[in-house]
Amino acid sequence: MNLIYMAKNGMHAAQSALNVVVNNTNNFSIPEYHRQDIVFGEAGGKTTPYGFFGYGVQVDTVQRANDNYLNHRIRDAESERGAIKGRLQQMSQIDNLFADDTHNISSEFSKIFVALQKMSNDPVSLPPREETLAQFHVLCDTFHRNSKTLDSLLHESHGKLRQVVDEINSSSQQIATLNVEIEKVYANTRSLPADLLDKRDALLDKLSSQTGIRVHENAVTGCMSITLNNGLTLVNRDSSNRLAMVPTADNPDRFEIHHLDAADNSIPLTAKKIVTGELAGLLKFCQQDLPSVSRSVNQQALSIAHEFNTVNKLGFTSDGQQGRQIFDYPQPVALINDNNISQTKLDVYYENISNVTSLEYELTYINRDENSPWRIMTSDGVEIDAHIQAGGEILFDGLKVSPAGIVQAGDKFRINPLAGVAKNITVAITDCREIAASSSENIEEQSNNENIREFLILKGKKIISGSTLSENYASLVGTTGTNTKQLVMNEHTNKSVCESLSAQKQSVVGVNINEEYVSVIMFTQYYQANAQVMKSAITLFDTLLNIR
Amino acid sequence: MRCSTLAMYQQNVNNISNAMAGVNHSHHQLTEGKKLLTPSDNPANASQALSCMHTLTGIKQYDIAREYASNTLGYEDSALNGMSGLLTNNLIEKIVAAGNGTYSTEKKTILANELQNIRDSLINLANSKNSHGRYIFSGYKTLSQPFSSVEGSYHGGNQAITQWIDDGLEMQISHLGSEIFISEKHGNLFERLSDTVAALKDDAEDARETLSLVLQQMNQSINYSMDSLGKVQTSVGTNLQMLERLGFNSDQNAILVIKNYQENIGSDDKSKIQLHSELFITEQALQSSMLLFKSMKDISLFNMI
Repeated sequence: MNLIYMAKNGMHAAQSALNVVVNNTNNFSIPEYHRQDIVFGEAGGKTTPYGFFGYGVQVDTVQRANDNYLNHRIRDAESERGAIKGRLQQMSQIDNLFADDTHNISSEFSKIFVALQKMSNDPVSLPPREETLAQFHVLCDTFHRNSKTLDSLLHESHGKLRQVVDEINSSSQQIATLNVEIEKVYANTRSLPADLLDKRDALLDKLSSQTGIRVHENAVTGCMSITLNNGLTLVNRDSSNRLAMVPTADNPDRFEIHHLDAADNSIPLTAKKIVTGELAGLLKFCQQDLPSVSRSVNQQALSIAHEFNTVNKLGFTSDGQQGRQIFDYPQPVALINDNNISQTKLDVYYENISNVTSLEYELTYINRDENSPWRIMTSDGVEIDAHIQAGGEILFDGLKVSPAGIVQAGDKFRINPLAGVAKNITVAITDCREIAASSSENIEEQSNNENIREFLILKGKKIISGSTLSENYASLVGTTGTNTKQLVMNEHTNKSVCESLSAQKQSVVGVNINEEYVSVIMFTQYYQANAQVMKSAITLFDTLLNIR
Repeated sequence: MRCSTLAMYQQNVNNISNAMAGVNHSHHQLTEGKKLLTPSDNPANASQALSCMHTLTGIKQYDIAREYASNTLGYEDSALNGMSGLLTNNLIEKIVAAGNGTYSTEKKTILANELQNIRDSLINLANSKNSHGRYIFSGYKTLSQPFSSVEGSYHGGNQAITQWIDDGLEMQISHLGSEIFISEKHGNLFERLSDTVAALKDDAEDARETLSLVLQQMNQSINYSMDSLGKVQTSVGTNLQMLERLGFNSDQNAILVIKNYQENIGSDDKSKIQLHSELFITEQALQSSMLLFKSMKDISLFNMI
């Protein structure tokens, strides 16, 4: 009797084993699938004075292959990869923008001087003048083109940021839902559902590529909580917290990431707190890389415009008129902080362009005393002194700021003196004769080219922060190239690490179908063996029954 | 180490993918004809390449300046030669003849007319224009005729045109007519010539004394003008030589800069050869990765039992 029972158990075990093997074989192509192994155990037995008689085999468990330490390392490598990817994808677009070495800001600037030389040869003749005027337009167009690319790149980066934040929130939500399911199953069966665990691990990998996370998992019960690297909770068993992308109070074109917890508190995450993951890469690009390039381009536009305007105003046109400005550009804008009490604006003017820096400023009205009612901080965190004039105007770093009304204590304003110059620079003169070639108003001196010679000096003059325009531009291109190249090299290194870790993981959790095929053959024989035993047991029973 | 089936296929896919990317990059480089596609390929070279372009534009700018300068100086040179010829060969001869007290009134009239012709020719030359139609000897007032035909007074400017012809190098590319023909001490050559002509035609009794005084002043004026002319001719000659030399140096320089530029962006011949061999290598890598896959995919127990 026992034989039939034991054979039945054996066949049952073989069927279960085959089930697991076939499951492996069917799922082996799914990257997140962890191989499952059936674990048999002895089903106990009876120990008698004349020996031990076992009760056969039982299925102890189906073991899911896993290595948590390896998982941890893989997630870290993924976070690193996400950070590099987020930043590199955007940086390489700036790299491409600067790849044109024949039609760029520096080359179009240089061509102006070729045209000016022709004008210098013969200031009376109109074609060289037309050519010079046309080249001024080409330079402005080049600035517009560059500025537009940078603007749409910023826009695209913000779009990507939004998407990443949405995906993080979605993953957190899904993990929380899975947690509920997994805990329910454990409560009912004291076993963990391998397929749900696979799904959850896949979500964790995806989440870690988007932002660095720390995972706390109970291997027995399957309970899990996830925190950001700085400790703020993303998922706690069945509940998840959201991240949000919020415009900054002082500049609506800039964004920061907030963490919203269960009590609806909104904590801004500073750049120091977001270090890895695609989120970090994109943020670094939006807050550091791109503004730095924009500032350089704007500074180039402003310096060129200022220098040419100054020289033209010194000279006289073909009609004997004093020259006027060649280029038009907008005056700076002061952004009003959302939290300001008064809605007063500040008017900002360029007072001395040679002193304008590439810093951004935050002005706070503190009304401390008459001599210094304003506190002025630069984007580097340095406080600077300003000179207050009689009419309440503030002078600092080449700028003049004048309130357009009454300001309340605590009101804040943000000034980026270079914003929008490259985008909005235009040619103000309409007739090529307005280019002031002559140094005297005597119109009989038709070939007086002395002022053109002043223009020609600008080519080698150090007009930006102690460098010439071409030196400044070459340095900008070189820096961008170096940063991009560094990222490419980091990506390469990280890729090797990721590939190696992935191979290691696959060696632990992956399915080798040849192995499974051997198992199929083995368990089939196992089944056949037990079926034979059953046949023998039935024969035995029959023999017993047939005794008269 | 255990090798899962998925890992093996993934590895093969990665290999083929990477090899493909390598071939694409090689193709791209060869199509563009240079190694440096974006600044990140080689930031230092990219910076250098920009510098080279900047230098080349500068060379072009000065080439334009020098060409115009040569042209104008050339015109000036031929005008000056003409003037020199008239002064030395014709004028002096006639003035000496005019000093001859034995000439008859008729002869003196003929002489006066000849002097008038020489004067007109000289003024014509002084009013020369260059190929753009600008007066050469008027300084900045290039649309104003330097010397009036009748009185011979100077109406040109008082500043000579200069140009930058190289970095920090300025050159005077034309001279003022007043420099050559007018001086404080010796007056205006053309006016003196007019005076001489008038004196020769004068039949009055005291004409002889007036004539010899006028002739004296004439001689002084001529000597002054010949001196000035000589100086100006030398200056023009030296400048023309300097322009030629600078042009030659500049051409040499341009060749070096272009070579430097090509080396920096990898479009010189040596780089092109390298690119071709790299293409060969990357294509080989792609082919071998594909062959590997082909041999690997058949190795399975399922095919054997």
